[in-house]
Amino acid sequence: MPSRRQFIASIGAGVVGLVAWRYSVSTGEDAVVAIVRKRLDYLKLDLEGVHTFAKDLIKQQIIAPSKIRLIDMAGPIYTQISSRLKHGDLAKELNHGEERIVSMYLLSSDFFQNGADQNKLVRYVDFYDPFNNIRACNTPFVRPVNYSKG
Amino acid sequence: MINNYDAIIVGTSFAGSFFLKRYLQHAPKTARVLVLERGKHDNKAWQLENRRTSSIDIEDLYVNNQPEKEWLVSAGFGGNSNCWWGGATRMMPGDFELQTRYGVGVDWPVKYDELESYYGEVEEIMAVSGPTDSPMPRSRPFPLPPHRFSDPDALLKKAFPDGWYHGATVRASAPTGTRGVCCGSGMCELCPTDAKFTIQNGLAYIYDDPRVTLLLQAEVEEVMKKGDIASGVSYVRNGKTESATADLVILATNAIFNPYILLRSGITHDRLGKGLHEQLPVDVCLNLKGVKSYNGSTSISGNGYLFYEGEHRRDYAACLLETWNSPFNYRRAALRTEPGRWTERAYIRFMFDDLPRDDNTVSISTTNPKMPVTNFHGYSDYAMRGMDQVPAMVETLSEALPIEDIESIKIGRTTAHIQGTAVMGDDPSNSVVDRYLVHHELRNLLVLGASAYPTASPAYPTVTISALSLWAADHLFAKESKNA
Repeated sequence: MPSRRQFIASIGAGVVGLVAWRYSVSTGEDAVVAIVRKRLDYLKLDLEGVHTFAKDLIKQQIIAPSKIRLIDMAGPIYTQISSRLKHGDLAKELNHGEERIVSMYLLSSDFFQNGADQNKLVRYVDFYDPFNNIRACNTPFVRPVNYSKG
Repeated sequence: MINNYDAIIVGTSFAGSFFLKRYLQHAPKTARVLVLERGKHDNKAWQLENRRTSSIDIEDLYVNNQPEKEWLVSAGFGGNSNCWWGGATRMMPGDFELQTRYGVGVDWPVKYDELESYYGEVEEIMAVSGPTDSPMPRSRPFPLPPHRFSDPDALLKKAFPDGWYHGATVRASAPTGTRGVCCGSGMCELCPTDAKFTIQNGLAYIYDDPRVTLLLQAEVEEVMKKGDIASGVSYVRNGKTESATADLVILATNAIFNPYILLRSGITHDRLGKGLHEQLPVDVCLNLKGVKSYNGSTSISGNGYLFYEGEHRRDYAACLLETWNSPFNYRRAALRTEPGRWTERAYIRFMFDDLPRDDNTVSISTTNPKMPVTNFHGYSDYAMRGMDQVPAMVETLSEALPIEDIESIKIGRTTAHIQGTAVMGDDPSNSVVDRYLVHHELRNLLVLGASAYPTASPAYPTVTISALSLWAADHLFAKESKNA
């Protein structure tokens, strides 16, 4: 029969192993999808498109993959924690990171093209890339200068 | 190949190109000018394809001992004009007279009034867009009309008519003939539509002048000298060390490489390499109530002068404000996620002038003498006292903007300006070059660019760099005609 010390050690090793396993299998895709769904729960989202967006976002490496994998590893606990955190630097950083992800999603979707209609299904178009010739001058909020009138 | 020239210019960015432009206007048809550029001609198509402005990695240019403090440079034909954001504000008159007016820092050896007409010329060449009113005296209007304000800018202008202005910028507000109109892509460091002025799209033609020989991928190692005369430069090209001689040598790289090349050449001075500085940037994100943002027509849609000139400069740094008009790309930029409130947010950068510190330096790397090294130990107390005023300044802005809360206040990593390190002044004991950017000891050596700045201004440095290059070239030929 294992001693108490051996028992605690084996539990500890198990937890470490579980965390390492979670980290090794996490891709970040689920975390991105969860964040978009949580923040935009008032919109009807084309879920398949959200998954495609998540894959594309991770490919771009705009947000450190290690950060997204950590969020994914925390899984459902993350959503609980991030929803309850209201103040402090960690809360602000999480909030900011989530806003960046959601911003990229909204800009990559047809949401603003459709006049920000909250009743319409939001579809992912393609990853928002201002260097792309089609996208370069397609910023949804910019009002062009009317140079003919000076 | 004859390696003797009338002039050798090192660098093809603003300082070198504006000098060359004016030099060619004055010089005889028989003049011969050699221009040496370290990088390649990475043209716009290459830049867009590779999503970068230079084929040389910044890590291969210099050692940054504090990488958390960025000093942005882009090596190649056109230099930093390829990666700049296109802010084209003049300095304010008080920036030139900090000591006389406010008892801090030092005065510049040149005054605003002396540069005013040169500023105007630079604005014409760059086709600058700017306001119809102005916080500083001007003798001519901007060549291009102003951009469109965002809604927060419009509110700020209404509340502070003498404190808020359309930005002066080379992000074109109308077609210029060589550039399209800025569409506010928010990616100005590599403008996808080539709407901002660069040397490549605005001044490349001067390098086609038959009097000019442009050598790319020529890395200048030293300024050669004979007694108290600069006799030429040595440079490495295709793995071979070569040299060229000239009657006139012009260093026009930047505030990292100008002092580095001088130090390597043994042309030393107690001030050389000291005082590396730029503005202190503080980025403030404000959540607004009921006001939509990001709807101006260019990436930075307004400039605030409320906290710039004034008696406060005796105690703390002056501040220039800029409104960021893009919800992406920039580190702290993002949309809000609450329903209907996606753009109810203002990003405002507060840029404070800095008083150069002697312990912020450029020197020769001890481990690799072929590289300069930067050391940055912080901003001046004067600039930091300015930053302490940010909450009070936000309170003032709230007279115009319905501010719900402050989302964040962060010190930025860089303003992408590099200044100081070979400063101008009237006294050779405490300055490297004179008011015409001529080296105090080697009188046929000019050291151009923002390395000559004795103090920072909150304003963007580029039009001043360019104006000083025209001013220096004019002086050179005025002196020659006097001597003739």
